[in-house]
Amino acid sequence: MLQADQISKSFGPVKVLDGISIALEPGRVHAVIGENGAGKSTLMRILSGYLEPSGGGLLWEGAPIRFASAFEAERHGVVLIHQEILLADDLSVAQNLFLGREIRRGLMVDDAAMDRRTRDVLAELGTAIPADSEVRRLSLADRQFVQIARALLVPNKVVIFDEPTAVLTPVETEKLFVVIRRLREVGVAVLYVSHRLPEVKAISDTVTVLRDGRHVTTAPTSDLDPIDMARLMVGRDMAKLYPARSAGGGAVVLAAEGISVPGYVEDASFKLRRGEILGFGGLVGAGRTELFEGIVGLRPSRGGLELHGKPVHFTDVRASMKAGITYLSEDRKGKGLLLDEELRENLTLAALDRFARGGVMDVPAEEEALDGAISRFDIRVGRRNLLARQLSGGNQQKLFLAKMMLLEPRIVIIDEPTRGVDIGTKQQIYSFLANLAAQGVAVVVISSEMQELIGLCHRILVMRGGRIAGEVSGDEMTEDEIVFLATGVHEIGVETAVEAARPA
Amino acid sequence: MSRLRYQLLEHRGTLLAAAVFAALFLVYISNYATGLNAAVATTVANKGVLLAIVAMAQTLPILTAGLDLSVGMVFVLANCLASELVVGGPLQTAFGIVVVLGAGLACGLLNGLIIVYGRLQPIITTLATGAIYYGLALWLRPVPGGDINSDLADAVTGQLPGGIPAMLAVLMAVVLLVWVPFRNSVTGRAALAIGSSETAAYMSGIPIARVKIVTYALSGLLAAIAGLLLTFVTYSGEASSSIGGTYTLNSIAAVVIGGTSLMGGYGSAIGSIFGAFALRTIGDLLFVLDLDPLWQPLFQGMILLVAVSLSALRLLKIRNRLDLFS
Repeated sequence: MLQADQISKSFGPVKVLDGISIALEPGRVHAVIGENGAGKSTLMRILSGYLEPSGGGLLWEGAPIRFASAFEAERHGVVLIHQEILLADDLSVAQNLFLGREIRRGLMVDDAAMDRRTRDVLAELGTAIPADSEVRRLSLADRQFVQIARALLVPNKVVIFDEPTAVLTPVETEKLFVVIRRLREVGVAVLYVSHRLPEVKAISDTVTVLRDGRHVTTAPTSDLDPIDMARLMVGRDMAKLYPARSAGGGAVVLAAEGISVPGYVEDASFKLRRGEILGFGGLVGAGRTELFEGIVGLRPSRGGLELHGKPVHFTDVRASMKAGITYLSEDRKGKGLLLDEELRENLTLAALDRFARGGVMDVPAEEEALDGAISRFDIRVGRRNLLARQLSGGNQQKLFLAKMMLLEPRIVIIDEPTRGVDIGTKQQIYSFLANLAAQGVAVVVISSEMQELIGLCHRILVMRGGRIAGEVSGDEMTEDEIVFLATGVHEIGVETAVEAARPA
Repeated sequence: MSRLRYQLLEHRGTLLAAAVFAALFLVYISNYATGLNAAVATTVANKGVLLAIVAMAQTLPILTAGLDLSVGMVFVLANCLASELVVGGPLQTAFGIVVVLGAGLACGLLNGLIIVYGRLQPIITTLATGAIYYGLALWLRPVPGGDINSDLADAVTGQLPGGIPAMLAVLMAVVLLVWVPFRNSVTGRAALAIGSSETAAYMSGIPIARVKIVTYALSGLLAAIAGLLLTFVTYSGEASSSIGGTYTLNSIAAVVIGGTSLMGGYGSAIGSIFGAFALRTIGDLLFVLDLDPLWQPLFQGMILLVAVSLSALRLLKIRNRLDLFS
């Protein structure tokens, strides 16, 4: 249907794609995998008309074609479903679905017709999102479904999914897979881009691996296991993705007793020990993030909190930072980094006072710290005066880590440490966190990736509906057990989801 | 990339504003009957420095992604106060100056306190407080008048040895005593961080409240310095709402011409100074080109639009339209 023929793309002197050919066929799901910077998103953008290739071309049913814009690609039935949520928060679901292509009756928009159509489309997707609800009120996962619904509203022959499951829980992922399978049945060509290799294994027919802008291989999915895929992506053996676990379990440094964060968390109690990595699992919206936002003083909270045996209560994040607790938000772009400032300004922001003499910034000292951070965290930059925005997701996360580690915390809480990060960087982040724990720092990892929690943590607490549902450790740390605690039941849908999310 | 090229890029906003000013000034001076001499330079400086300092005052809140609509009114209030207090012997004059500057600082402080603790939008807060400051000015000086220490006024608006306008030296001193320390301080860095992303700054432990209050207070101080200088130029005080309004709006235009982002997080008061001088020269240009005064506003507007577009040139180079919005 749609084919890329020897496509190359350069941005200035940087060649990001080098002679890539792939063919999307009707009724097939074609997955494209690769590390960050491998060229996946560039390829996607070229296929969907957002970028024009610098070399090679596209073929549409065998004949050369040029998409001058995303609009033109859409007219041919090629739609890209973006990874970022691009919706107008204050408009309703129906208004968003038809934004820019409203159904009109004369000069007026026909709200009734759009609402009806929206309900039909959402029902087809198997979701129960109300058509008249403001998008602002929806969960991240629901927004993702609205975005998918919006894309599928136009007649489509080729649908490109860019990391569609990044904000979805296993159950929701399974719902999405039902949608994708239905698209496949009606003869749509699907391109599926994801970091989650077990998902790729579960949903795709064909896999193409990219590395550093080059085509590594294209093979039937049945021939590859997730571990093979990882090896092909990175070009080296990934058997040891997770570092060896340290002894863990020293003295209790943080004890929470009956913590409540109004509206999100009820009566949560746990103990965090020196030198351990404590995982927090659960579905998106279970209150994991809010619990820790409450503990560090970002949200109002009640309950008993003891730090090194002394009762504390933080109402301001500055106070908890001063006490040695560092919280790294899952939203590193919005809450972690200053995207439009340079690396140096970003690195020292949390520890400004340490880089000042009599209230005046000591730029040479900052530069020195940046040198140290670049080498210690392996931040890969061509030049130092880049803006944080210009870094890849993995390098942003490393910069964020480097920044917060300047505070020399004794307790590190890290939320979704590897979201949107390639597998090579994941490994580096894991080994960094393990080292931190080995040095006696207490680490809390909040993650939706169960494999990550199981591979990295000494113990895992699972939250459900704002409460801590249970703890698993040792041999109990299995996806089945976590999902059971996270959902409370062994539903049929859940089991399928677990099957889908587990390496075959 | 070479160090030099990087430096140029980093200061491109300021450099562009300087180039715009230089070009306009060249046209102006080559059409001026007597060409450039010390007297002409002094006149240009006396007019330009006032707006330049008000524009500096405006730059600080804008760097934090705020706005101060009261700078023009603080400027007028300081002018009225100075025409009352900065008179008599050296001691009384000095005391008067301290009170005038203190009043400006207090006005800015009030703006900051309301914005931070009242959690109000800067634009509305300063619109309201600006009206209050203007009301105070009007109460102080219902009709234009007053006086100023004329020895000091003559010195400040005159020339230094070598024919350099004294006003430029005052501007230099303000830059060195207010802007440079602010720019290099922890507070200045924090202000940029707040403008870049207030959430990220907060999560990094930046004392948002303190930094914003200091920023608005400094803004008030700078506006009052300009108001004091205005009194030296006019030898009197006048509670004119049109002067206040014009200076406020022109200060925003000067900041933009100077390459500072209205979204905050990027910019420099030095750029704003050149922006202010460029803006001033536009007005004078129409005068020397002997245009019918009726056409002046129209042409002024058009040239302003061109100047602002120049500083927005870099946006045209952004190919990915999504980057425009973020």
